[in-house]
Amino acid sequence: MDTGEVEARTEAFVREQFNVSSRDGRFGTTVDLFEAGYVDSIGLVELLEFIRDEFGVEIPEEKLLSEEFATIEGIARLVSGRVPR
Amino acid sequence: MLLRTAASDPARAAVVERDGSVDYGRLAARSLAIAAALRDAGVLPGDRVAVLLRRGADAAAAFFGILAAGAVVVTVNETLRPRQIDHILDHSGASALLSTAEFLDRLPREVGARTRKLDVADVPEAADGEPCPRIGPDVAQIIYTSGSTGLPKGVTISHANVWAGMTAVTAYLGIRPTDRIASLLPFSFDYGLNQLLCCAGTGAALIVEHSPVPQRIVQSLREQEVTVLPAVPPLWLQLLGTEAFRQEPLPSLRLLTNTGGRIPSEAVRKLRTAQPQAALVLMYGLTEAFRSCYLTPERADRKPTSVGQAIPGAELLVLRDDLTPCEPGERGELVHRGPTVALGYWNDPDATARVFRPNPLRAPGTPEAERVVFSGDRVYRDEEGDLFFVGREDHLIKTLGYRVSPDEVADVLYASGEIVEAAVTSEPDEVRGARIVAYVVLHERGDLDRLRRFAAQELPRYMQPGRIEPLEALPRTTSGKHDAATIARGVAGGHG
Repeated sequence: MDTGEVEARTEAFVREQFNVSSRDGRFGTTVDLFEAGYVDSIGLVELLEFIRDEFGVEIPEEKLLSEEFATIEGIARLVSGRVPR
Repeated sequence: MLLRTAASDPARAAVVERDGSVDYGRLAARSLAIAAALRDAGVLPGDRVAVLLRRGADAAAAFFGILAAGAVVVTVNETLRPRQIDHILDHSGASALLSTAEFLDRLPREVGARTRKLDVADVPEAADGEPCPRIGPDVAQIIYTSGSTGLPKGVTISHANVWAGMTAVTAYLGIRPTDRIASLLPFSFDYGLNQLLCCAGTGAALIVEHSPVPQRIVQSLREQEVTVLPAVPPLWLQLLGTEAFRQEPLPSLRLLTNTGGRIPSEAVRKLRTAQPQAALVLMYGLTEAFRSCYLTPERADRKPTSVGQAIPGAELLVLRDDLTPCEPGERGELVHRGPTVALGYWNDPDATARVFRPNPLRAPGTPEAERVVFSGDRVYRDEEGDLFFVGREDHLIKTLGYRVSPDEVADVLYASGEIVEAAVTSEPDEVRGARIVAYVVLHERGDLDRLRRFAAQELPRYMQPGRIEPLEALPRTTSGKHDAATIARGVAGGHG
């Protein structure tokens, strides 16, 4: 699966699940989802569940700390490299 | 409180965030600048000023700045939706809302059409000026929290209450100026705010972390050499889920404190094993009396399910329905006496009279001046005087450390226009404490997906039903009320 598709599906999930307003001009694929408060602690569990169910990918614990995991763009890069073929 | 600390120790770090640190001198100057901006905007002593800001240095300065203007702080939880924010602004009669354009743009619609909005980005970094003098009985803040009926209630807290709560907690926890206290919980929570107050009162540093990623929190605790970690049960479980917390003690960490629900006994044992150098203090409180009791670390190992004994300066009564005291082992209602008993509920004399009552055990002839809080919590005391929580007398749901009124959730479901009936209850959930479940009867043209979307729009995430179950009809009790417990049993039985 290519990075663009993972990114699009992840963005759609985040927008819906975390109720991102269409008025919100600062939201995007490079915003830090956690620092900016879009994803809370239960949301983190839901996001990991989504990645597992949608793409069949488990994010390893050490990657949760990476800069990549904080943005939709970075998550797409992390995930697309791991999607089982 | 803040100004005294700032005067004696202006260069000490007050609020530390990932992108920088603010010392007490700058925090005090920024607070006075906010106070001056509020006065210029026409805010008078006694006016309510709402705050909708990201937890951090500016939110801290806003809190103290509003008090310095002689006004009343109404902190709005960052996760609330316009429906709840408008209720708080209207009900408190807030004359101004301190926020940022970034925050307000995130909301799906404009809030507080009649409330004056001040962007903290427009307030200068510092200003001189004297704080408006206030005395103990003056109102300092209103904290909105779910009540057993209807919309959220505004617990009205005096300057004397704030001071008494801070001094009791710093005394029994032994907070020192060298402490570095983690701030992971919202300031709209009395518990979350108390981390800020304990810092301002003692000169300790508040270490703010926004990330919900437990691995990141552990990294920040280590790098920032945090000494005191206050959290709620779901957060402990998440921290225990990370190797970095489970397998390696954090050398600076000396104190772990919990409130907002009971930690499962198994998790208490795991916490003690993971961080044996840190003392664990289990506490219990309700916003109406701030904090009632705590269990000392020595007892946490022996009685991990107890909430301990009264905080300094308070007395806790366990009363029967006829208002006489219970014997040890006998269950009754917890009643709190002491200097942290709030003034009542803002603009709600009926609810105030139900919860804030005269002391029923006063000696004959004693004037009725004292008010005690009837908590609605069922508890018992053991032979050693330690208290154990049994349950609640009403249907309030404790989830994710929040109190949620099932009525308030049901009201929003009705407002969708998709249903004819709703009964909201909860089921046990390992991570959340309780999970909200809604049983509904759909309107003949009602749609479950539209109902879910409406709930997602109109309710903050902690109030969302984890499950919405459509049924043909909802059974009622003989008095005509929905009996959520019966419905839950019926549904569980029906599925085998």
